[in-house]
This record gives sequence, C-alpha cells and structure tokens, in this order.
Amino acid sequence: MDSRSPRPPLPALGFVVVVLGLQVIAGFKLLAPPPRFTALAPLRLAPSPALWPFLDYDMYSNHWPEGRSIDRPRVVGLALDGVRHALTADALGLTYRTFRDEWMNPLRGGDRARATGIARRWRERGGAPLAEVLLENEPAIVTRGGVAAGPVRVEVRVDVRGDGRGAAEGAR
Amino acid sequence: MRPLALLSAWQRRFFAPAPLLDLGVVRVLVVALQLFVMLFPYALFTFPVWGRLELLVALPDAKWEPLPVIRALLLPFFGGERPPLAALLWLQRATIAAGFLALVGLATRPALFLFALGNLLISGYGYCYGEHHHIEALTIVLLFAMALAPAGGALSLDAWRARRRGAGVAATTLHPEAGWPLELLRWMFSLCYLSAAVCKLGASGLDWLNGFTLQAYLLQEGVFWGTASSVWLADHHRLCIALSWYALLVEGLFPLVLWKRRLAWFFVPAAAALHLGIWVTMRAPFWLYLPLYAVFVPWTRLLASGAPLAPAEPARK
Repeated sequence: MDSRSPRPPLPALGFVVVVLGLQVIAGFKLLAPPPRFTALAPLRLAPSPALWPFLDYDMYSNHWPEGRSIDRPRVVGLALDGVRHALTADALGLTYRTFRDEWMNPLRGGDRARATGIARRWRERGGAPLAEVLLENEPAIVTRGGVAAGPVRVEVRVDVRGDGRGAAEGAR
Repeated sequence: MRPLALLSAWQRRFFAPAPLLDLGVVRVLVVALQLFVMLFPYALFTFPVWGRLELLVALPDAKWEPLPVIRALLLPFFGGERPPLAALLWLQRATIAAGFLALVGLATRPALFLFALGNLLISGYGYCYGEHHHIEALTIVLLFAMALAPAGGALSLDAWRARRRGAGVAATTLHPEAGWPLELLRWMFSLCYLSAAVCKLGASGLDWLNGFTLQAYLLQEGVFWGTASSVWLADHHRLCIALSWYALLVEGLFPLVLWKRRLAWFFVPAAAALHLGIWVTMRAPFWLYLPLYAVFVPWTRLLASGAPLAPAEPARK
C-alpha cells in the first residue's frame, strides 16, 4: 500500500468493501448461477432475494422472437338488439386497475357472477339492456410490421337477460 | 499497474477529501424524498409498503417468507414470529421521527442510522411475502453510509450549533470522510446498471436487441396497466430496436462515469430518461433514484461559482 496515502477510517473502509462485495455477488449471480448450468448447482447458495437489499437486476432479460403472442382480454356486452358494446373501465366508470382486478380477471378466471355485476353497472350508467356478457381475448402478435391482431376467442359467455331486467328495475 | 498500486489508487479515490456541503446537499435531498414517500405513500407508488402494512399483516402465515436480513433483525424481538401491526406502526412512526431529525441535521449520525434501519426493516418486511423490488435498495445503502460519515457537517443544526460554539468549519471545507459515501453510490449505480446489461446478454445474447423482445414486454405491461403509450410504442418495430440498443448501451457503459466523471453529464440524464420512459410505458417507479443522482453533481462548485455544472474529476496523485 502507498505509504503516502492517509489511512482511511476502518469502519468506512469495511462498509465499502462489504457493500461492494455483496452487490457484486448478488448483481452478477456469483452465488446463484442459472439452473440450466447443472454442474454449477452446488454454487447456488444465495438466489435472489437472499441478499436483499443487494439484488440482481435480471428483470426483462429473456428475449422473444417474432410472432410472440400476448393475451389481450376485453369485455363485450351484446345488447338485446344485437349491437356490441365495449364494456371498458371508462364505460363502467371504474379505474382501469379496479376494472382489471375486481371484474375482468375474476370473470376470466370463471367467476360468472362478475358478468351480471358488470351488466348491472352498465345499466345503472344508462347503457342499453344486455343479453350477454362476453370475455373475449384478441391476442396481440409481435411482428416486424408492428402489432398484429390474432384470432378472437370467446373465453367466457354469460347470459345476463334475467339480471339485466333486474338491474334495470334496480336502477329505477 | 501492480495490484498494490491499483488498490492504493482505489483507496485514494474513495477517500479523497470532499466538501462537506456536497454530502450535506445529498443528505437533504435523499432524506426529504424518502420522508415524502413515507408520509404520502400513494403519491408516487402504486403498491407502497408504507401504505400497506395493515394489508400485509392480514395475510396468512403461509405467505410469510422472511428475507434473511429481516429474519436476523427480528429474531431477538419476536423469536422468528411475524411482528404484530402495533410494533410495525410504532417502528414506522419512530423512523419518520428519525427522518425529520436527519433532514434538519440534529444528532445527524444517530438519526441517519435509525432512519436507515427503520427503512431497512419496513421495506424488507414488505418483501417478506414472496415479492420483492429494487426501488429502495440504493437509498438504504446510502443512508447507512451517511450515518458513518460527517453528513451533518453542512446544512444542519449540528453544524450551526458547532459554529456557535466556535468549533464549526465552513460548509465548503474539504473533509477526508465526506466523499466516500458519494463515491460508494456512484459505484453502486455502476454495478447495478452493469449487472442489468450482463443479465440481458447472459440470458439472451444479442437476440435481446431484436426489437421483438421490447415489443413483447411493452405489450405485456401495456395490457396489464392499460397504458396506451406502451401499446403505441410496441407497434413500431424499428423504434423498439433503437430503444433496445439505447437501454443496453446506457446500462452497460454507465460504469465509464467512474473513469471519467464528465461522462456523468451524458449517462446520468440518459439513465434518468430510461427510467422515465420505463415508468411511462411500464409503470416501474424508480422515483427514489432522482435524489440519488445528486451524488454525481459537484454541488459546492456549482453553488459557489454559478459556473456550468461539471462533475468533478477524482483526485489524482
């Protein structure tokens, strides 16, 4: 060590060395080699977040090829006269997060009662009476030319005619 | 360069004397924003741990997966059990009180230590339920570092009281221990950004730059958050290729700021712009990084001369 340089305070020096060491270990996964390297499995001692607040930063690190399909669910109301209505968060007077977490995702997960709730809310906001509520998925497909729409699939279809009348009465 | 000479140069760089004012400015900015997010958790974040303690406490025991550091810190007090809400709320209030002391610089070192410890415990507690994020990590490290340094040497009641006793020094005084917390955070930023680039290249190679990857991530987050901007961006393949290169180059080359401080002029705004773009399109909130970037600013030179902002080169001998 250069004798001319003043000696740094030991607590500070120790803190710096420990912090940088832990960040190097966590950030570069020195104790968490990817599982595909089976020969290095014994080194997998501290996978993230074992060393928190020292972490790796590997989010969004996988790559995807052209043609990757992303689910794009949406809720549609089919009126008694056959007209389709987009039952969006705005149309129902909800924040997108509330719409997604409390209505659309549960409906997509098979909670059919959500469909009647959506129809009721739609009617309360002056929407046309609905015959059916549909949960459709129109996947977005990544292409060189931009985002292409995949084939529409109806994942959930719920007849809400009885509930629609009830909702209309309830609204009055 | 021989290893010992390299080590000596590294040590000189880390512990080069720096103005107390530079550290004081960073203390005020970092503590102020951290206090703000503790007092108004939902102003900047969608799922802030500070506003969700009641929700987390109500989760079933089966979801409790304590982080090692949290398990170790809680063990003497709760014997491995989950802390009750009352204890967490008490800790939250004590941390906020310590934060105010750290902000005004009264009993600065112990206040900073308690503020750092409280943040470590509460943030860490929030990540003991199977989900973890990066946003507080660098702030916590810097708070602990400042607790070991003369962070109350300027812009503080401690410094004002010392001056009244005749024992104070000017805020612009160079202090041998005032620079290392700032240098440490510059290194931490560099390591974090570099590891992000290495993880991408390690997992995907140059395929990560194919444009389709960024399009897919933008779509995925755009659908989840309902953000029109990300869906619009995903519709432009060539733009996504360019932005992929931008992200990887900014992350991978950010450590150059350790070699040439003036490069911070480019890389810090570039990294901030990257985070801003990520927030607009993907809603990842790295707001706590904004005051941390202050470690790259030579505040004393800026405030004293009004000269154009130019990050200081490290001391060389």
